[in-house]
Amino acid sequence: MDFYNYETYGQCEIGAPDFRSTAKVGMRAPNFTLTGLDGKPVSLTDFLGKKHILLEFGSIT
Amino acid sequence: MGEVPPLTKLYGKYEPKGFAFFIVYVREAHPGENYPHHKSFEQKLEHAEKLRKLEDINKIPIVIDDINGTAHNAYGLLPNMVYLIDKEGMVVYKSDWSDAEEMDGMCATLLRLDEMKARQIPIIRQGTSERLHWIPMDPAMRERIYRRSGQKAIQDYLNAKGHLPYATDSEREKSGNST
Repeated sequence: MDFYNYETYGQCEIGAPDFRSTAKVGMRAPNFTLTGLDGKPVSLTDFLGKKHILLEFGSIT
Repeated sequence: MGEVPPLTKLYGKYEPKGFAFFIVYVREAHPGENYPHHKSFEQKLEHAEKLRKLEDINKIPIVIDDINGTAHNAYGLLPNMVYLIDKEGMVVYKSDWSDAEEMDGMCATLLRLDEMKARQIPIIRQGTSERLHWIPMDPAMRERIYRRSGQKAIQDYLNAKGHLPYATDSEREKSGNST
């Protein structure tokens, strides 16, 4: 079973404890490499020294 | 995800002032018949493209996490988190929900920091604050999202034991789950 991509809401404990203990305020943000709709990679390091970044996480559901 | 119009408004206000905004597409929070859990990156990409069309997201770039949720894991796994990271790569704000008013205030704070640095105003120390917020029940929005995902998403939500944080009392009774 894929615990990350759960099939049924409620199968997976919502990650509240992780939220508090990871990527804390005042700490260096974890690097990420994500993929744009155009297929191009986007990394945190592309913006260092250049822009402030706002991330909003979500999905269609 | 959270409401798009308030986020778009913030984008219009802060993007020209040195901010990059991203919507990070992660796992389906409420998988249903129409949008089941992701089995491939291509499927995740397709869902993200549908979100863009449905919510008319034309300005803010949508970026997709890998199929294993690597970035989502690193940032704490909640479905609607918001993070603000300064130019130096430091987390300056994090929230478990998208609250436009708070985000507006924090972006303005970062602009003041830019200003202090530009004018070489010495900073005595870096302080922190903590706060709570209260997320109002919004049945209309919830209904829209569950209907979008399908009947399974609604049923799974009502079946979920232990956490029905946003269910009304009558929904709890109907589901036979009063915990």
